[in-house]
Amino acid sequence: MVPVTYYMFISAALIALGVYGLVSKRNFIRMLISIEIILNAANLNLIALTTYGLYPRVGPPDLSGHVMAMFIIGVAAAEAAVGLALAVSVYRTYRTINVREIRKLRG
Amino acid sequence: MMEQILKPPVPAILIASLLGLITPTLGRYSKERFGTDVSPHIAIAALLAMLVYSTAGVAGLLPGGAIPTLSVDKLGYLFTVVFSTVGLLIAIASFERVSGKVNSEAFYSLLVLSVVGMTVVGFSRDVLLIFVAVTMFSVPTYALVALRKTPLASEAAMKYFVVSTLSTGLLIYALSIIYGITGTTDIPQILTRLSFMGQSARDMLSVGFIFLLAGLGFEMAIVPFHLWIPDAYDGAPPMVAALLAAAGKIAGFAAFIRLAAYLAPAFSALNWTQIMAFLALITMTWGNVAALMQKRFTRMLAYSSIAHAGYVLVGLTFVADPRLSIFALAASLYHLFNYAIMKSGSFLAAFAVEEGLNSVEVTAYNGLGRRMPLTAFSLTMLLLALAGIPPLNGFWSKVFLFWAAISGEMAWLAVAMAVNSAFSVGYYGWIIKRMYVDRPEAPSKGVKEPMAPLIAILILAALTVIVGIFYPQFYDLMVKAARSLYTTSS
Repeated sequence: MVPVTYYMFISAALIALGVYGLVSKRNFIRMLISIEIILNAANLNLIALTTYGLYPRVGPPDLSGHVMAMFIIGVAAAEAAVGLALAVSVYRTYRTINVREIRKLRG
Repeated sequence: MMEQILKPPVPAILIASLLGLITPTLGRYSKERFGTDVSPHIAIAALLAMLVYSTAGVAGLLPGGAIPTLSVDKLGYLFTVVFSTVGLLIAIASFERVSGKVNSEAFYSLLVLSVVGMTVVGFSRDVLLIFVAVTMFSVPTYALVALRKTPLASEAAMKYFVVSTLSTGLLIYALSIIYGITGTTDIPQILTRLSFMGQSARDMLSVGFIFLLAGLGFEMAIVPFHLWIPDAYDGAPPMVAALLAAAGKIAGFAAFIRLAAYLAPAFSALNWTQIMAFLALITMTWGNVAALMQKRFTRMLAYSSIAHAGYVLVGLTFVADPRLSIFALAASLYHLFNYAIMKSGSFLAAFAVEEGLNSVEVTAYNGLGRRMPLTAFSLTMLLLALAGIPPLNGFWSKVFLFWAAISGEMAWLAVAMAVNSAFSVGYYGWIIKRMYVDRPEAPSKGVKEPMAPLIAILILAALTVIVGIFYPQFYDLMVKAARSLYTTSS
């Protein structure tokens, strides 16, 4: 069996990757993908921890982590839908989705 | 199952969200213009019903207690009162502007859905529900910010979207760690299980706490996470900025109080008091200093809202201390309550001025006292309340927060708060001076004051006086609400 900490390390690496992508990429669509990576990092964490548990537990297994992962998938879909709609709206007004060029609000 | 659905707040939440979902379909399946004309009335009725219902809850007329994933208590009802009041007044204020227009159904349905999401945050006692509800209130607001098809609004919506989704991502990561340590999603159960766990679990929990602080810090506008606030509040239409500033931020604080403030005694690996006191100090100082330098009124209000988040954190500093927790939490709640009144009023006044004079620059406020006398007068009251001038509500909550800092033996924090508060009088007073002393740049002629925003602003300005005069009664309510956080959750 792979120890649960391995999953947690991969999940932490994924979240670092997502945050890095979010701050370094200029394309709005790539930023959306980075956000998906962050949410999936949390998913991986939840499923691994529900299945193996970080500390020994008593009683029947608790499955709410799996339920949470399902909810996150749904929420990620909703956020991606709104995000892509925003990308269209931004593109219509600025003719670009490069976030470095979209900077009228300053101060 | 069925009787759980019928227990107090659940039917109200279900009906309101149903109404929010039905309104946009009305326009599609009915005669032309019917949907756009009726949707504002439906939204106002739904929000008014929620306000009446939750007021009954605060008065103790509804049965309380815990049902799975929700703790039905005065704290939840108090948050609902705040959210539905702000939502209702925004719905009224934007009546002339939005109703009958193309996006009218979308605006009102998103407004109602967002307020319902915030309400669920206020009641929730389950980490999963907190995550879902935070998303439920923030997703409609992304669309609301982008409602006007102007470059500024699109840019604001994009920035808000990126930061807010990042914050939900960090929040769910924090919740996954907390769940992984304790194996339960029920917040009171988490506290109970943590008390049986060893040091390694507590150390692990501090990782979760840092992610939690980052995730909710974006929503609450705490300083290292505040950079999106001025852009989003400034680019958004002012009535949507009122929703974000006065209700959205309080929903962030509601999640923080339900989760972090409740679990504060368990975060023993970190020094909760030191961290919060430091964050409070930098948040209020940064907000006030930056507000002084702004040329746009809405941007100035955005920075002042950061400063007010800092004042609320002063109270939350002491929730880990069992002797002080209820008193400090009540002071924070009282300031949040007042903040909702003052900030939604100021943003709606900015909306009224934008309607009348078509500008949000501070120069548009020159001579406003003669051009829009009632708006200028109400805005003066609201700004004085924000600055914390004695008979008004903002003063009393600051006094309680000051007192909490003194009783927590952190005199430096109390002094910092007093200095900041005095400093903030500068930029609020500067706007008031512009309104009454300075001459307008354009030839001064009276402008017809937009009726709908004016009603909302006058109500809010009256509330600053009423809450200020009857402060012992309101403070009493806050103490009851704060106590209910610790009692109804088993």
